[in-house]
Amino acid sequence: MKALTWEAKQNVALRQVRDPKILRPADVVIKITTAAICGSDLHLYNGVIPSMKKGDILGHENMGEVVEVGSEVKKLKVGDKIVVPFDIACGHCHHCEHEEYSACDNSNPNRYMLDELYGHGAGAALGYSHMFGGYAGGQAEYLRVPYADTNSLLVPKGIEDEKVLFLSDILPTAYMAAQNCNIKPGDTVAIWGAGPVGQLSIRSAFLLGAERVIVIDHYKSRLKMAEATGAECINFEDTVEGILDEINYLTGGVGPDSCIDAVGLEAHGHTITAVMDRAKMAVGLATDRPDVLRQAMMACRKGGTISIPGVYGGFLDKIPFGSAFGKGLKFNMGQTHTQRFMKPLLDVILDGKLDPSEIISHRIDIEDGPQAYKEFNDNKEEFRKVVIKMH
Amino acid sequence: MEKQMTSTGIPVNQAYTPPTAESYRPKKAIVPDRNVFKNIFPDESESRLPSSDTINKPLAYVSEIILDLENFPQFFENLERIEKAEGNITRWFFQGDENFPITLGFRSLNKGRTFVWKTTDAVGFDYTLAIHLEPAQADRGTIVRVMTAYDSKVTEILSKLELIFGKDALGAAKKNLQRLKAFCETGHVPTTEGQPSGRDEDSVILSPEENQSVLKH
Repeated sequence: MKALTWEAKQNVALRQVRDPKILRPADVVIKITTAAICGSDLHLYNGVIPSMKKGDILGHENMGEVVEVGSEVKKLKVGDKIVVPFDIACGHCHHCEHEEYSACDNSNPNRYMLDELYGHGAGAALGYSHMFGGYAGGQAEYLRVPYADTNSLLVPKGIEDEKVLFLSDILPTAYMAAQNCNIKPGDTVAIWGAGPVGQLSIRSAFLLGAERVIVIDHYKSRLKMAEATGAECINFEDTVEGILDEINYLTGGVGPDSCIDAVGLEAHGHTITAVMDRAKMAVGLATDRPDVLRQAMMACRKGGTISIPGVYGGFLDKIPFGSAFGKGLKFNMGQTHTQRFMKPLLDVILDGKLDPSEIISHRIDIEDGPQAYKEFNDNKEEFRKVVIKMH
Repeated sequence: MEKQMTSTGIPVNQAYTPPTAESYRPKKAIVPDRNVFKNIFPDESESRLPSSDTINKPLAYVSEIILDLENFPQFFENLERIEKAEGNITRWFFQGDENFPITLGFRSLNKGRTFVWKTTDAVGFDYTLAIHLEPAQADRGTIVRVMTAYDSKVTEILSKLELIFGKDALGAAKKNLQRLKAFCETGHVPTTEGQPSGRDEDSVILSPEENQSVLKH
């Protein structure tokens, strides 16, 4: 089969590889119909997530048709169309029983590696480095889905792939980010990053009762899209007062009730700390560039909530913890427990309350994958979400 | 009765008694015995690899899995098989050393909650594997504590130990415990062995002319 593979930093190739097969009785194999390139794939592309190996098959936003079924699979049969969550959960451990799927104890064969780094290792993810299990991803013609009864959402017939594909990651991620804000009627939510997760976080925050949403970014096309959904926008490259002063002004000096960091470890910006982050990361002295997190902590109102769906990987520098302590901030974060949200959000889509396909900017064939990675990375003004049409 | 006074003039509260663990902690609290392995590993000069994990299954279930030696190769990396010999003696065959099994004697202690496998005198070096099971609090399953120990003074055994553990002994011990947990909870150990990859030995880079579909399904 054809597959997009990580070759080295900023080098993705199209390769002919073996087809996947059933390796455990709880597996299924699917024929990918549609996959997507995620913003977090660009963290891999840029080499900031450790433990990638040359030849790893990329892709964690996938859906397709079941073509082979393991002997222990109870809920799926050949021919079923499923969406596959990016995080792999066993469905049996303490965390899975409590719907903390991304914290699964058993899915990650390399959990001991993460134990060293994080104290306690997380579960596995498709196509997302060896410390997250080393599983082959779905930017390919076929995909093996482990623990398939837990890691699948059956798609009702007659629905376009694009309407439900993002149930695999970014829609649950955005929804969980908004839910983590503990939004009450009348609240103001500030969102850093108007990429796909940011865009869907705006919609989720309004669905959950926010009265106002403020969005911070510097890509005009993305801010324009955010504005169209009712958000108030700040272009951090144009602001004269500075982001914090402008947010304070917009919120009457109080600050937002909650702040969502939908950017994560590769923040841009021109503040002194952001410039320092870039310099330190360039020479290997920093693992993450957390300038958005710093801004969110400073901007948030006293007693407010910081919600972090953006990916962080290592040890963060110069975090204003005194501000967080002094203001009594609350923090909610973590990889999305995708499986928890897939069915309820499918219902939201079927009810017509939300159409995630609005965020797609490009549709490509897999042959164009290597070029699409480059262009997505280099031109985020134009590229917002790339969908790979497979079969 | 005259009140007893401190040097600062504050009366001493004679009714005060210092708290004990039972004063505040719930009576049903399960507190681990930190000395559970003390009698099994009296030799302080041994190198030890302690680890523990909690398995989301009842103690009897975990115990049954562990005592069925046919299960061991499923979760103990590099272990090919275990053969029962006479009495409580077992022979452990590791990958790459099929002709030279390690002979271990078995004991069950603490009313069937502690299992110990220890090299017999004939082996020529000391290696002990002890597994202790206890119920986790609040019906959270079974805490499995594992201690392995070996005589670190004898350099000749290093190659044998590398067979058992690989080069990172503690990492391998923890990994094996995680594999046991997965085996108990899901029936299988997670794997990516046998999956496709784009490694050079496993694939070819496609040129634009070769971008033709090769679908089999």
